Amino acid sequence: METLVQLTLTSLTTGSMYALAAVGLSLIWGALGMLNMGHGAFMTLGAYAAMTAINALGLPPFLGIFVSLIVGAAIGILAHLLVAKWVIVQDGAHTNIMVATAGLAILIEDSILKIYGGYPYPQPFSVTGSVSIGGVAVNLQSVFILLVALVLVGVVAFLLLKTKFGRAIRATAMNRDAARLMGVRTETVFLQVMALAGALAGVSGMLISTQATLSPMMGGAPMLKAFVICVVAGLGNVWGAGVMAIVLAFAEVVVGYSIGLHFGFPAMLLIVILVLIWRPEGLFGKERVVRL
Amino acid sequence: MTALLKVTDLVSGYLNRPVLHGVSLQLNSGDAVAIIGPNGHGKTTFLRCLSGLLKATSGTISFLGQDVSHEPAHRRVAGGMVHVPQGDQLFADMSVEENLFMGAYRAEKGANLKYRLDEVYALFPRLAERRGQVTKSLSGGERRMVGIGRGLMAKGELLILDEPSLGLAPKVIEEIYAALVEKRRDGASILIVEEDPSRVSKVADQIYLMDAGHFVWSGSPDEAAASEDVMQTYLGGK
Repeated sequence: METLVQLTLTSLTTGSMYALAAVGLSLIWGALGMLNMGHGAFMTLGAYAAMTAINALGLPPFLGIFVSLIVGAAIGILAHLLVAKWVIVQDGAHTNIMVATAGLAILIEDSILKIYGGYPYPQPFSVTGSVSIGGVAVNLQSVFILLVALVLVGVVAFLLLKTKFGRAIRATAMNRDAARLMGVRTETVFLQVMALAGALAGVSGMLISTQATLSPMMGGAPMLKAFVICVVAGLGNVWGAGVMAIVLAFAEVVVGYSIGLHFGFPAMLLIVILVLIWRPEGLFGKERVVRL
Repeated sequence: MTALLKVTDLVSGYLNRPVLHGVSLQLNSGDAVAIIGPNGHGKTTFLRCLSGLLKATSGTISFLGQDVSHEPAHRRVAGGMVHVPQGDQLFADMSVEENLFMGAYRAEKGANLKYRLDEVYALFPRLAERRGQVTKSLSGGERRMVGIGRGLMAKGELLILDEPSLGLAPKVIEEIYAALVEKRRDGASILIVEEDPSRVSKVADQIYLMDAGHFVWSGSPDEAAASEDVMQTYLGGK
């Protein structure tokens, strides 16, 4: 029983961090039709920005979240204005944009390496203490991560479903030309989506760094997982990405616990392979499946 | 008579393939103009140019007396040029009502959208029954109604329709055209593209025949009916 509660909580915590990254990645795919290879670097940047703000500027640690949010949004905007905007209008944009954003990721990661060095840093922000749920000691850090993720996903869901702004994003994702004929400024929507996704990535990176350490390459593995989650859910399917994040995190945690820590991620990849064999249209379908 | 839309020597196309070779057209306020002609000869390209989805290589498009040739699509919509594209292009995973609301995306603050919605539902009662349904689950005719209704939600100065009869059963086409005739009676200005002149005769005042990126003939619906030989040359026999 205790193990089950502990595993469930770990899955939820891990899954909610993945969800933040995956939802952003999925939003970008849906609205801009591009795979943002810079997503992991956005996460890394969010984590370092929070650490720097707390350590160097002496901000109260909980404000680190907001710093990662703002810096994440800023890098999303910059990535769009300096890179994506120019590439997505070209022929062959699908491949070019992957290379271009991967290049941006290298630039960000190497800049961090140059400034901070390759040593792992601890994230100064942490929530200490624990509470007892059903006789199981649960550390508050996990609860906090879960809450932050829930609030952010809730805000994004509200924006997408209930506001005119969100409706314009969904319209652009479903049919770009039709959205323009309705009077939607799709260029502005692209920018907004990049800002939103960047903010989510920034916070996601910051939260992940509280569970491990900061290093220039820390965004790589979570970005890969976020991508895996998006593929399984069907690229561009934002709700699916949120749900699959929790499901795959659960699989990873359970396999990691019962078979061995190093088998968690391979288990996730195995699931992806099986899903793609069973349902390849998620990735290779002629019709882009977009459900927001 | 003030020109609502005036197109002069419009040249456009895709990459290195020119489609329109100097097309001119005038549509006055309150008029309905139809462009007919065989498929693949530039009718849709012409409309995409008007609404700004496609850039014109040369020539001018003036709307309400202003040159909009270089304006982006969203600004032309805001100015009152509403394009209902071919094949509906609905937002498939949105409900009927959400699609309709998207049509009024550029509506000024405080506009009575509820009233506009009721107007569309009065014109197409079937949509009222299906208001909560996602549009990809609708029939072809219902989807067309959403597409046209979405265009009407904008309350623009000019409604541009690209083949509203495309792929529909005769009975449904009649229903759609009855709605258009009703809009005409209310004084709506319409630019409509169809393949076949017989469809548009009840709606249009003036018909242009497009062939290979040129207008090769124009006249009233009666004149079109009388010029059987011209129609046969370009559209084939019946």
